[in-house]
Amino acid sequence: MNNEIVVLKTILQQMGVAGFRLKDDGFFVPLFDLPEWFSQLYKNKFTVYPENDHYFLGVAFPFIENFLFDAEQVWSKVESDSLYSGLWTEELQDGTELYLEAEAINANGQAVLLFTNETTHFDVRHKVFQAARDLALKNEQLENTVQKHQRQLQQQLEGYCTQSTSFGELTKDIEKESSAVLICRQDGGVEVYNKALIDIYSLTNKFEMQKESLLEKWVKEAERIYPEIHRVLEVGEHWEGEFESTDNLNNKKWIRLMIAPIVDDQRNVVHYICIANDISESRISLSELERITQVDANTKLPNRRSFWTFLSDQIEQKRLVGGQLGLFYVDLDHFKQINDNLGPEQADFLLNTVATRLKRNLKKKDFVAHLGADEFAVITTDYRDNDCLKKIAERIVSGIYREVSFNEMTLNVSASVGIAIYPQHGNSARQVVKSADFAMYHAKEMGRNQYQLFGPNNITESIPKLHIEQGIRKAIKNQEFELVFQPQICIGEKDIYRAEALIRWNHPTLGTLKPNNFIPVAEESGLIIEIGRWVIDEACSALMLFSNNNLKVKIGINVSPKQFKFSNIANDIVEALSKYSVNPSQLELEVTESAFMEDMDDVIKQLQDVRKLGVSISLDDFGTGYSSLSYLKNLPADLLKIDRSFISELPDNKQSKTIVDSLINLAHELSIEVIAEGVENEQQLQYLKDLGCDYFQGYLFYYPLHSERLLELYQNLTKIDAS
Amino acid sequence: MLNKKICMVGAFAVGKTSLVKQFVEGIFDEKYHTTIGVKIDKKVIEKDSESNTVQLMIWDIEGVDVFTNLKPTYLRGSSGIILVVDGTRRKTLEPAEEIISIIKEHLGNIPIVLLINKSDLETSWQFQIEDTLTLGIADSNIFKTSAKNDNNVELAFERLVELISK
Repeated sequence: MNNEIVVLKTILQQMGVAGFRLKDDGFFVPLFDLPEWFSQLYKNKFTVYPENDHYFLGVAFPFIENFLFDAEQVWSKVESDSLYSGLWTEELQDGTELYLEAEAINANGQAVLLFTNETTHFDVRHKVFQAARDLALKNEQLENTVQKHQRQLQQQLEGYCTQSTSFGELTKDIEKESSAVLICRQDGGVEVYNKALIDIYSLTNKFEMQKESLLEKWVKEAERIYPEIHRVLEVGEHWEGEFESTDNLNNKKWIRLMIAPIVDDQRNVVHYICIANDISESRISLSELERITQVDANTKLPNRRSFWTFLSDQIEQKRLVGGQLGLFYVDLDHFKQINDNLGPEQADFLLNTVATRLKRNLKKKDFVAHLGADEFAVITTDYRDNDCLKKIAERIVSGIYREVSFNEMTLNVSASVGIAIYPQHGNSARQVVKSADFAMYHAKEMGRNQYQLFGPNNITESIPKLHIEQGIRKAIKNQEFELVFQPQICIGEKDIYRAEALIRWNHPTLGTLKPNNFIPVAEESGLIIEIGRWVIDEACSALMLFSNNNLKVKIGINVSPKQFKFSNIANDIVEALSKYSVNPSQLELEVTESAFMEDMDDVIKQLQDVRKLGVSISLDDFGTGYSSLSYLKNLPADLLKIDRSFISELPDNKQSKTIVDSLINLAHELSIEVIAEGVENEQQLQYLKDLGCDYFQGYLFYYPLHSERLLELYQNLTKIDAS
Repeated sequence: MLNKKICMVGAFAVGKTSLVKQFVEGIFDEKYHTTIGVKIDKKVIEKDSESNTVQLMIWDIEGVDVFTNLKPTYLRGSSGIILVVDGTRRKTLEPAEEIISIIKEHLGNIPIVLLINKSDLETSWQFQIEDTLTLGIADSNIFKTSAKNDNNVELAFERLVELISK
């Protein structure tokens, strides 16, 4: 324990954090040796060195004095909590500015105050805000110019409308006008328009222009942010504003529109003069901002472009003066599902959380970048040996692997990390990145939520996507797929043997490929439907083999979410069962949580249909995706399969223990049986047995076997049971 | 000597930091450097006696824009507020109205001085003093200032000191 505290203190020191504990007597005392920058700063405020290590933080820093009011709220809570102060600036005696942030933490009742020196990263952050605000200023100027022009044009047109009875001359005059002009009747009927209007709305002819009232369309679009527009126009007043509009080709545009009603002597509106400009380009574009600043606008981390520049520079430097660097390629697990199902806002929130966790677990000197989507990278030059790199990777993996709370749900987030070293694993930036990417892919292969150091084996396990896609098409025809079966063990008496069917691809040139090598590609390309049908058929064929040998075996097959969406799974099963005369109770569908994300009601209905046939349902990889406990009771499930990532951490990891314990209890409460996958040692088995887990699957018992070998095994077991 | 906290608030790029720099150090930098977070400066306003002398703690608070809202917690304990708008940008009046309502909600009727900054560009102003009526600030507490030309800067700060010393 003491050793852990020392390690923790060392990490915080290396991160340049100044940590204090608030004592009962109201004084702050350091938790560990203070970093130099803090000592200097404090000395700048008080010339006398603090007696008995008592620091007057509120007196020294007016910003902190103010923050302590909010911090007190956190510290007085019963449960652990934390609060950030926001950034503020302090000056050293020589005028150097330090950019600091404080965090008040309630650590199990202990009042802790951490000071973080953000100066190193301030430039990046400042650059983003500076660029954003510079752009906003430019946009304001542009919009002012447009506004001025629209007002002048409106005055000219108003003058024309009130003096003339026909629009003949006007049509010619406004044809080359850069602003779009539309003069219409009160009912929206078009009277005059110009080419700029046709261009903005991608209209091809006058007929298109007239078939829908543009005025009505504009009012509808504008009222989302200007609900008063109806009222203003109804009383014959002038209106102007900016809003998002859709053109004829369904492209979104930002429009600055001015509408001026022309009234007659009785104050009746006779015409509307509408002047519109496309101001889309003057709106701040996030991608533009990223391009300028080389910073990801969401996470505020250096972006891909910045990453390549930094990595190339570093490698060049190492090439000249010698030395090595470590690259960590970090890829979030299951991010696509989150993005698809929770939407971009929540996904951005998650990425932001991950970015913060990453930074927190690394040294200030380490370069952290957000390469886009769910990919992050870390470059470190400050390490001794490979063991150090592994420790950093452990910190990255465990730092990210925590729950993220959204408004209505909690998600377990994890990442797979690949490590590559320059020059050991590549002589160029591109090669090192490639190696790290291979290693990351290997980490995914090994079950995710872990890291892998690059090794030659990684390459053979990563195969180009296109190669796979083309190969799958031939594979079914050439009978290159096969099923292997991993037995599932029951401690105690059961009258049926169980096994999970796992697909393998005996590739003509690449050898035997595991599902991770080709199933994602099959899902993306839609080929999974055909593979899915083949699996059902093949599993039923194997069941027939077992039945013919008087063995009662139940086989679980994995089903892709795509099969629910694009095929009739119940029909496919009925056909296969009847083809091989198999009892439906011998078949089990293994469905992952993600299957329920898109159209939960429809999937439940399909599963109910399957269940009515007598086929049982198992929920696969349970606990890895969404916090599913709340809807578990609504799912037609007979069995719940706890994901191997939890099992692998038993019995040491407290969090995994709690999750596994809760899952088993809850499932049993709902009369659902539980199977633990990935059981690899006796300690895990014993722990799970003690919790009352019903079935076990893993290398501790059996590796996946071919059907003939499985038949042999069951025949032998039957003999033993009989004797 | 009295210690008083005052806050500089307003939309982004209206010149809050430049006004503080001009007032505290007598310096003006033409280039726009956006502020992130808070920077606190001090300035002693000498009075006839030591007991009347005031040390201002000037909180220069990051400007309000689409990315950043004014954090009410930063205003805590303030004796007065300097609200800055940019005469050349009508758009800076909108956040000013929002800021006024935040101040009223959290600090009640605290003294506020309004600075319509960039008076050196008055010919390009997009609004006039009358347009600030909706902010509800008395004419005597509104100043046309220029951090660049040091126009009315000291006067405006002194007016706030006068108001908070009452």
